[in-house]
Amino acid sequence: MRKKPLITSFQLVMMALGSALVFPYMFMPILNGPPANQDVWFVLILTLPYIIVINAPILFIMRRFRGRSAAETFEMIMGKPIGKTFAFFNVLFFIFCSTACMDITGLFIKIYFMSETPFWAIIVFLIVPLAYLSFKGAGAIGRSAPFLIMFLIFTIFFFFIFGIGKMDPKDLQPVLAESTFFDLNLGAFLTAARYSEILILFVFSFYLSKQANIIKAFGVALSVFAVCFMLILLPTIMVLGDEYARHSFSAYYSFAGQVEAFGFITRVQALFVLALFPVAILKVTMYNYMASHVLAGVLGAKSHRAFVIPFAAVSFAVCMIPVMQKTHTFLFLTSDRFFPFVILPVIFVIPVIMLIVYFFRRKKISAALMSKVPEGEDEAK
Amino acid sequence: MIKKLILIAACISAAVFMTGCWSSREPKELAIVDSSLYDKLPDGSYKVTAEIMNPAGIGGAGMLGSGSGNKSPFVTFSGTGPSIREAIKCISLSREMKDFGQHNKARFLSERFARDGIAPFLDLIARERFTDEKPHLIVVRSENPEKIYDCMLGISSMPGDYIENLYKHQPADSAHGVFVTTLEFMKAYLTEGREPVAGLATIVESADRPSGNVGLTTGSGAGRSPVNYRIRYEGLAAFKDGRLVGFLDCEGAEAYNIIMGKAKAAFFTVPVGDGRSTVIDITESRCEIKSDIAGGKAVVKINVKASGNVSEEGSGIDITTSEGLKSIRRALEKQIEEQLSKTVNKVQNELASDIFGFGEFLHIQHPDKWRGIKDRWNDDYFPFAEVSVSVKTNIMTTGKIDKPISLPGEHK
Repeated sequence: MRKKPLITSFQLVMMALGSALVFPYMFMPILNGPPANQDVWFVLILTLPYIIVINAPILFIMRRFRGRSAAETFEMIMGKPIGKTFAFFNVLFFIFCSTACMDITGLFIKIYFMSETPFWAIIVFLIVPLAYLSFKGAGAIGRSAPFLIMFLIFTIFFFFIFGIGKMDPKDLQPVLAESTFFDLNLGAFLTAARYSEILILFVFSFYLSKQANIIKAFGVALSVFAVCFMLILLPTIMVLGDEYARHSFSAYYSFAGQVEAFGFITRVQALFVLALFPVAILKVTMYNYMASHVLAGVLGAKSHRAFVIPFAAVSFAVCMIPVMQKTHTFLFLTSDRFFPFVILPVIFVIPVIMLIVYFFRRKKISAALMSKVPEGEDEAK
Repeated sequence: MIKKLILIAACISAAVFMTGCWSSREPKELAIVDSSLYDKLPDGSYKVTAEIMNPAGIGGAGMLGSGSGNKSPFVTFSGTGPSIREAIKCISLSREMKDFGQHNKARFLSERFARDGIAPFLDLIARERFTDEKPHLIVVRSENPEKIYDCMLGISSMPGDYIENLYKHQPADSAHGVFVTTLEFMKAYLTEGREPVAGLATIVESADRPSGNVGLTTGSGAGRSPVNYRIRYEGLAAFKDGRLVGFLDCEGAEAYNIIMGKAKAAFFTVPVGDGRSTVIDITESRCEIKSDIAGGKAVVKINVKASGNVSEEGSGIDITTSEGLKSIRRALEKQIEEQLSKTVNKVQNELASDIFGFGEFLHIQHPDKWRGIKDRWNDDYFPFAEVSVSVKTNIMTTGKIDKPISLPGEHK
């Protein structure tokens, strides 16, 4: 039996960070969420405490069940039948995320870059590296993340620095004069409800080296996410104006197209494309892997590998449904009417139920935790 | 070992066979658009003319645009249709290459087209994949706007490049023209309390000596008769609700640039009595605008702070003394105040378009008051706003010499 791969705290932070940054980088849903005006940067600040509150139950569970797989944690807390059912809900959620992200990325590529390439071909080109990386497992995903995400972060700083000349702070005014307290908080709540990256920490912390502090990893990932998101949001509004930014499918890409300096740094949106595609593939891969990994745990399979291709095939098949290739679907999937309400039950409602059950059964669970050695994973490093 | 070999073989195959995809475009197969002209015809249809680079006519030994042989550095293709998009599509009926719009440097709009309303045009630019928001937006003031492709272009080789070069160099010498990118126009169009402006190009007859470069003096067609007109880039075109409503001349554009804080070089010939004058070059200006509602009327205060240098002294005033400079400064301030007031009055009364963004300042400074009047700002408040202008100037240097060459009593 091969040892389970270990990933470092840095790799885990990069994975969560990359997954969280893909959507702001690609289509920035915060712009169209309440209050939908120049105050959205303040919404982002307000989002942070909401994220912490929403993620607190799952953070507690993660800390308490450190070294256990997701499926194992569900079963230990909820008992076998309900635990398996909850884990299965998570599997469905991961497949959904993988499919939705694949569809959104494919549509984005189709609309902006490859209008003549058939949609199926774009999806195939996403699925091939996805399947390979997911098949190789957590170690390979963890090792890929720092390279890809660091480049993405580099582009964010690059665009910000060289876009400064075109920014007009007037576009952020009037400050907080046209937003109600309710709108600001609703916007922050909806944005926080999209932050499903806590599940990446939850699933992949199984592979985290024992010395690593999971709470610290969460804190670092969230802090860097907030800084990067702010560096994406502010220049976009200050260059495009909040009104035009809201009209654009990909406001940040439109902003990147405006960045130029010294007469020779020009048309640098190529960097945007170079940074976004690999990270989007990584995000889809992570969700595919998580679905496979948790299902393997639920079914007691030796490896997640048997599920990678079927799940990728399901995602492909769903993306091929004509309605999934429409702009309306893109807008619906990326809007605040949909994603937050799918994510919230998984990252908040289920963990809260688990937490309540844990407190009622904590003596029994503690005894089980003491007696049961954390399981290994038959997987290539 | 076999796995590694298969992997290496797969990588090599991918490198060989996957060099492109369905959407790949070879540069040699692209018709690179350098500028485009949008016109509306009397029958209500649209006409779009694209200026396409001709690589065979560009470059070569020696001078920019010397070309090879007698070929023109650009060609034009036109198409007409019931919509702008169909007119663009119509171009492909005669053009053999795939168009590539990302190098477009200027979008020319005919006066007819601009007066008709350009909201669908802006929508097309924002929506289509082959367009971007960088090109300058310029209204061409001429009965026959297509003449722009037959104008003398100095030592530039193509109209789009000509505009790009003007943009790079003109603002350092003059504030008589405005340069507005499509994005800036779109932002102003979408901003509450601000109306957009575009650059203005007028085609005028010229007796200037052409460069003689092949293709440069003869517009799009090498071998055509020598041209005798050129582009005069000055003034601005003002829009309201997406329609062209009028123009400002060079002095109006200069005032606009000062109020918007965009003037990098503005020359003022300041009269100081006896028909004599001093020329001051304003090199830096800052403008503070305060907008409010008082007594049911909009009240706008424009405070300009400008600094500059003496550029030409013919007044006979001793500019080495502070008194001398002070008298010039006072006259300069009065002159700028008059020019700004005159322009603001014209914009209020004749154009009735808030191109200065006084409404936007009211929105920022008094959002509560703005909320109540924003729907009536353009019609009920902006045209009747009480605008006061105050200018403070500072003359920094007197150039390479101090005393004027012609100071009375000191010269022969």
